[in-house]
Amino acid sequence: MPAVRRLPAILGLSLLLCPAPPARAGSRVPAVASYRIEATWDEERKTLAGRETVFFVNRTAREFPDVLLHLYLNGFRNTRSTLSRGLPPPSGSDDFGACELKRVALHDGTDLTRRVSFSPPGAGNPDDRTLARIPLPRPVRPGETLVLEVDFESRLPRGVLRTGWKDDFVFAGQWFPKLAKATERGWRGRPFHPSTEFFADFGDYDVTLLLPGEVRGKVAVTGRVVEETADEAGRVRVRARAEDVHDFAFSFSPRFEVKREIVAPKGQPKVEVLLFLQPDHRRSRERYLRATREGLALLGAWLTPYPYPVLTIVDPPAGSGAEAMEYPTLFTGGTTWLAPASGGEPEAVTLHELAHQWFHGMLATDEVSEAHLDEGLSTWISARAAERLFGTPSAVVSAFGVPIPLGSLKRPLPEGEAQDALDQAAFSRSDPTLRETWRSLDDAAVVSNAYSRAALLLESVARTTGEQPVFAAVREYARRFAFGHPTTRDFLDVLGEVAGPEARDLVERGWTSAGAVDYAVTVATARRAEPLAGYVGEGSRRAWRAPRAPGRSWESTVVVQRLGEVAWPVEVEMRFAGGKTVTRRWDGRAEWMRWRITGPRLISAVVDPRRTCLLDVNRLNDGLLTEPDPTVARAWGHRLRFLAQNLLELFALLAVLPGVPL
Amino acid sequence: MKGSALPFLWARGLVAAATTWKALLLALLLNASLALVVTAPLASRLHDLLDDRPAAEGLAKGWDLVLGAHLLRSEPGLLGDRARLERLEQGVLPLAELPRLSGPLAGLLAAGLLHAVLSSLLAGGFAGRFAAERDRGSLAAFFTDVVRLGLPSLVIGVLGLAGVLGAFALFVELPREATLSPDLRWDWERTLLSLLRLIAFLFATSAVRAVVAQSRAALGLARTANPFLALASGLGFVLGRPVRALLLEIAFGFTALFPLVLWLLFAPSWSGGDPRLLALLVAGQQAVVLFRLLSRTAHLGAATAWMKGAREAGRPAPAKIES
Ligand SMILES: [Zn+2]
Repeated sequence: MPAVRRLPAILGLSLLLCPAPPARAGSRVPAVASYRIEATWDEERKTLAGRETVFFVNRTAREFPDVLLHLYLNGFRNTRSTLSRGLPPPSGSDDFGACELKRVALHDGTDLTRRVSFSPPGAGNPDDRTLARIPLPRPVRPGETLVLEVDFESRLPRGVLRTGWKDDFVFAGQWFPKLAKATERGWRGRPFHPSTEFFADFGDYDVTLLLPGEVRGKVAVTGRVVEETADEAGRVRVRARAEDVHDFAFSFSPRFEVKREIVAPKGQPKVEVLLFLQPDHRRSRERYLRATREGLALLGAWLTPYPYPVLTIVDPPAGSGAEAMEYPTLFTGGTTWLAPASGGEPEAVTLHELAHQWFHGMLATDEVSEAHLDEGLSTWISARAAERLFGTPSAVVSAFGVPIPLGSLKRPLPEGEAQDALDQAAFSRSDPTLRETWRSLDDAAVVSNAYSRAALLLESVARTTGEQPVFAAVREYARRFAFGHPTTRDFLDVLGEVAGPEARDLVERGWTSAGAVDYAVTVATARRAEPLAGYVGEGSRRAWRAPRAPGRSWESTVVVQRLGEVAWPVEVEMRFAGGKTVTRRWDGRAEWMRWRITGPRLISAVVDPRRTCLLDVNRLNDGLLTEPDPTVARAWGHRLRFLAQNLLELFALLAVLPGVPL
Repeated sequence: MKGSALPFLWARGLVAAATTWKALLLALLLNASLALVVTAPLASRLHDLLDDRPAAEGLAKGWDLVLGAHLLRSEPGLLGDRARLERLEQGVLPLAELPRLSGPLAGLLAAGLLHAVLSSLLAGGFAGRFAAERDRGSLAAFFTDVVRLGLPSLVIGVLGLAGVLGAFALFVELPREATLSPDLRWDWERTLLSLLRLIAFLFATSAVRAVVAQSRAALGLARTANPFLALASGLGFVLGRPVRALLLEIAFGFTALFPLVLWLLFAPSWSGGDPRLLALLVAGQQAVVLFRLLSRTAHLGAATAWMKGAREAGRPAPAKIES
């Protein structure tokens, strides 16, 4: 049970508490980190000058002698930050951003500005300024509320890595000084890392933004806009409120085309859906909305009903760096002018980010250390939803800016998008999924583990131990830990409890090893069975039988070897002449297994014929024929020759390899 | 219809090319043999990898993305260097890296260059035959022309290739970053600028091809086999009638592609079964390739007829002999 549920809200006892935190209407979770922010956008300087009041309610059983604040935008401050290792080389001043603390004080006026220090011990990079530590005059005791006044100025970089601006489009993510996560072991916060995301406590936000007048009605926010008024200088004052959320992002652009729709999935509460669309993406409007509408109904049925009354989709312009990111009650999509219908985008990205509303927005797992919990579950369940709602998408190639769908070349989900996990398991093997995400060797390890491997693993477990139990376990996990910051252990416990120990064990195996699953049929032979020959019987009944020509039955031998580190229960299917099929189950744990069967002649042996384990890195070696069949290679030889003939003719015409480089 | 009208030239070119059918069959044989040789290692490797694997069944009908990924994972060098292949797939492999390709792609590149060289030599033979009044279909005369005009034709071909590569570098490679830049405001700007790149390249290539064809025609018609004089004459001819020369080139370009497109759209693919179907498909494919060779040659035939006609029209008419 997480801390927030164990402790009642003991407001009023606090010595540090003075003003009331943002008013709460219908909150379902005791607030820990709440913010009241006022910020003014400076279009010229691309800055937000802000003043925030931070309310921290200590709902843990320990004292907090200091405050740890994330200043995420300082990741863009200079080329020595931890984040900069993952950014493209800067090309000008626009590529830099910052979050400066102008003044930090307690609500009673005690100034703490001079106490601020950066890069606390263990942060690993003395030059990084994305984590600020502020010692307090006296600790925040359990049940007490700390009220902190912070003046800050945030400069947004040109759009990169989820935040920034492009032309008149602005997406502000991680833009304000934000508390680290309070846990029973103290603050949990890491410097802003290029391949990991965020972790924070739930709370309520009351945010007032002063923006250019032209964006009136075109401001997308976490939660909802409750008030919009023009000021005397022609600007628009936008007030937004969000409850039970752990982050606040907003976006505005005079170009946005706003579409509002009420979605009422059967048996679930109504949701107001707001789409902020780029004009050149008009063709994708209905595709965004349909994916959201049907996704809300499906995920609501599979998990729990969507927990908020409002959902906002921001469609960013290409090149803004803001594509495909999730925030509570708000996510960004990503599409293109000519996005072909059969390519499955923007539907797939919409469903993925929508799934994050549960696996991140509502569950609020630690994305910095356990990215597989949000990315893996979202990737898996959204792949399921996409296949169910829209069918298998086609591969799309792009030539000269024109996307061309390859109709017959299908990209089944999640497999077609997750082969990087198998490459990682076959070649790199740098990190097991359960290594803290930020400690992974590189971005490829993070992406393949958190997204692809986790999705393939969950799909494989569903296919191996049964789909319904796995779905039931995931639903129970979402229900039980709603607003509860669960960990990998919590997920595994629920999985074991609901789907059974085998499901739990398999997921654990897949997450604790960096290695591969690989089963290979290494022997499949059939020879005439030798009739009994030699000395037979005992004592006086011992008789000699001379060797005879082999009879009509066959002795078939099949050997399956486990070549990968990770064991998986598999079936082995042996097909015999005359149509007989024998299937054997093997727990897959030993190094190899041999079967000898006498009877009709063996035709083929295949391990995992029903493709239950998608983690197997080599499907080709999953089976052997006793007699080679050259048909497929011959067909390809034939195709290749015709291709080569035409390419050669093109050479004669142009003497350039076609398609290189477009 | 005027003798220099496009449809007339187009038809004349095709008829002229058809009369050299023996030489065309020879060119087809050359093309097919090179293709056979260049794909042999890969085809044989595929037999090693797939013949005793039941999973190969999934590749019988066509490519399968997932199974293909498994195949390339189990045999990373199958199609050559993986990293370069990926960049090739994304369309960002710079021209300068072509010599560093490995595996089947490198083989294809080498065979392609060889094929281009041999085709240029043969083009000398075709140019000679189209310029001649008699013995158009004679293989012996064709080879005499290959010996006489092959090398000059190759020189013209190499210069043409340099022109095409130059156009590629100038119109496709150089502005790539700029036209795909994320700084562009709208999606359609990116697409239209990229298409503009393609159109500029195709236009330049067509121009180069037109000059090459007229130069080879001039080579066949000239008394001396000087490639540079022929080039000057071809260039002059094209500059004198740029629109029609380009249109002629484009017409033959489309003619060549037409049967191939039909084939790709409608022909069944062989995935095992009846070997007679395979034989029929191979014959159909050879017909498609032969038609492409014919179209390319017909361009030269049309160019020669056009140039000849123009020269005859430019000459003063012979005085009438009164009797
Ligand atoms: Zn995600």
